[in-house]
Amino acid sequence: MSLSKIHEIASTLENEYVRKWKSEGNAVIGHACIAMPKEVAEAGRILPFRLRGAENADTSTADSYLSRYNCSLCRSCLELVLNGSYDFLDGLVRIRGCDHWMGTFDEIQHAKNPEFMHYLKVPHLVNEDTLDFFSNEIKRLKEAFENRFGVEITEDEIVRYAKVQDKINKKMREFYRLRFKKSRFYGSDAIAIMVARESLPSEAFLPLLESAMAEKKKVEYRAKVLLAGSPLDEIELIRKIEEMGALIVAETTCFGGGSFWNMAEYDGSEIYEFLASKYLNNLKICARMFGEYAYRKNFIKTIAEEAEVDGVILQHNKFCDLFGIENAKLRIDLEREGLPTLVLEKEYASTADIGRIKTRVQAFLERLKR
Amino acid sequence: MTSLPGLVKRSYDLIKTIERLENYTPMEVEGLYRIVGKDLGQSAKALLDERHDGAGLHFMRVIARHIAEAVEAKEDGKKVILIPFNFPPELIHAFENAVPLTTEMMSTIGSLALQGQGEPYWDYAMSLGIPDYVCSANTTALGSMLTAVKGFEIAPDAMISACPGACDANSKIHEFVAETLNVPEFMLDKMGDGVSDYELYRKLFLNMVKELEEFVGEDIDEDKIIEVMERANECTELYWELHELKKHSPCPVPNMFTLFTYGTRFTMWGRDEAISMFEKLVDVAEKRLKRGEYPAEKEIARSLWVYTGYYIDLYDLWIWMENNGITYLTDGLNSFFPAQFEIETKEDALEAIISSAWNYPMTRQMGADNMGIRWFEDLTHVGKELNANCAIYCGHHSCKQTQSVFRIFRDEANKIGIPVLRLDGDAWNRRITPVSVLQEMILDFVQNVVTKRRRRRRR
Repeated sequence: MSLSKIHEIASTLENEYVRKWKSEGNAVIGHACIAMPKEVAEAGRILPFRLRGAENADTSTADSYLSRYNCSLCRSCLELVLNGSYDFLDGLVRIRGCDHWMGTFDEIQHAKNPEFMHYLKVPHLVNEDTLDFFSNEIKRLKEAFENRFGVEITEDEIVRYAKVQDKINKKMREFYRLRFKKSRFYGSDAIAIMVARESLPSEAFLPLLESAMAEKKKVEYRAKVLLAGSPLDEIELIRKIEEMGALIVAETTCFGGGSFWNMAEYDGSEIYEFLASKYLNNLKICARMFGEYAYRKNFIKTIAEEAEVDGVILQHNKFCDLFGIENAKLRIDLEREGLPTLVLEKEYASTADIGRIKTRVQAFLERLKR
Repeated sequence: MTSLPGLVKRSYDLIKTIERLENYTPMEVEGLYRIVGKDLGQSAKALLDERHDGAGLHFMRVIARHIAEAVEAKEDGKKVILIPFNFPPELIHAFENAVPLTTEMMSTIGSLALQGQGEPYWDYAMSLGIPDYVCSANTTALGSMLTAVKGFEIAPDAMISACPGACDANSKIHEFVAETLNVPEFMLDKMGDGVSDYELYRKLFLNMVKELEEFVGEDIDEDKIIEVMERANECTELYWELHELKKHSPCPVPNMFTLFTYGTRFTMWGRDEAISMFEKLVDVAEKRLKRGEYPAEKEIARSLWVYTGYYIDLYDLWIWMENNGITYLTDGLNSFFPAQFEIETKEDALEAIISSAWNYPMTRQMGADNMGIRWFEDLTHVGKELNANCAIYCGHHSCKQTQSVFRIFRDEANKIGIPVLRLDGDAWNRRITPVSVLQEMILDFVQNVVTKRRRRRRR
């Protein structure tokens, strides 16, 4: 039952938990990156809601702001902002995830001029100086929340929510390991769980996850596959891939294992320094972090080995420079190391793309001799 | 591309020939055109055009020196440091044992000086699976660099990436090449416009200098860097003199001088070659002003190119525009706002270079808190100074940042009465949009929008 509830949450934007949260006088802010320190928001009773395209392929209005040369996920999200689907948000935290997202937030400001839009500056490098900088940025975010929403965000509360996040991350790792060997879940279920996590208060999500993990499904497949690459929240796309027999047993994407697998647990240190290190180091899984290619390649290899996958699908949306280039390099290197790899370039939520993608997956499965 | 030498190697051979050119007449240029074929011929015709009074040849010599120093550095045991256009080369010029080589200038040389332009190198990059929407400004030269593993190109010894925070594509393709060639990459990061953003950038820059000194095996000499910066100051003074000359109408500064300006800035700033280049540009423009020279009957459009120009056919775009009364006042790449600095110590020099890097084109606009607004403010500031009556966006299809905020630029420009033309084409790859289409669109815009507005204003 919980799994179907999770799918229901993942298929809507303003879900029942969000409505309840707001009816209790709490705020909801939108963001678009796993660098968002959730603990800081939740400690102020502010729900961090991750923007997603919700499988919306119509970008006609957004295209007059962004261009057709911009990522279709960003265009899809912008369309939803412009048509009012995100009007339940009380503000936005803009994060320079990539150039496309930066432009998207610029255009949101231009078109809608939201009353609250805070720029959280997330460095592209991890070293002593950038960690120090990011720690101050997180403090600045806290102050911006306090000023805007009239709340007090104490360090004790942040620590309390950091521990809640630790509990969820631990549970998510358990869930992933259930999928690795003899999976009782489809990849589409896993993506739905991830999407739900990004759309719910932590305290509401944890019991749903625990109860979903107790459910059992009969899963059939021809090959076990790891999914890597750019942010992917398209449950329907995963379903179509899995219908071909390619069971996704793990994702290293940021709507997947990338968002929690390597996330550090609270160690009792100064909270802002801890959060800076936790989020910036975890962000190394994203191609927007420079000088960390080896880290990402090893992450994929480690998960692929533990999950005993037959191959890897590296996907990205057309016009994504970061993952487009990264996937070209990963394909060469992973193939050289004996891991069969398929690079899939696609348009976000495009049904016109499905036939082509299914053909590519079928060919990949045949290559895997499955 | 089976065994074609790399872009830098081919350019080096070709440029050695150009360096030997001395006095030439239009007839000799025509003869050269016939010998070298259309790709190089169009560039030669444009560069050696009479209106430039030798400045084009001078520019080729400056670029020739830049390339030759990189090629010869390998033989002399010096380090070749590959830099992006948004990194001040003067820092590398301050080393005795290192020379800079600028990625985007190599792609540009590929487009304008080689038969087949940069296409073989672009195609090689594509064959590795790199997507075709990645920026050709980087990918053309870097595609060539990738052939260094087969010995077809000179390999850089290290790379600098100044683009994190300003351009993902640039940063990422440089990372790809550094990983493939297994060479160290030194990186900066730009977060926004604030004091703490500058402080982070400064710290990263100073750390990078230390790492470079260690890598090159030499501490930058204080006297040498002061000399470099004194020459940079001279270049700055001349840059602003040329800028002032552009305020006249008709503009006495030929269209192509903008390309010569930033081509020199991105390669030889801080060197005697750069000073003599700028002296030549100012001298030619001053003489033209005195003589009231302008190639068309009248100047009908003073265009501000808000991003880059096109480098796929210099003659049929830059020269053609001027012949049709369309002045190319300046562009985004040329808007690097150089400043003069008081330099007494090595520390002063480094602080000055950091400040220059921070204000570099693209770093300054695309690394801002709001890309659209900063881009608009910077470029319209220049446009107003130069009395531009229209703006043209080349629409380089791979530039996701400018593409994503062009709407903001256009809306804001319209509010202050500057019409904007959005073209669609690749500045370094002629396969995307033919020159004839670009000409047609520019002419339509000038005749139907710009001149009509001028007439309306007069009434």
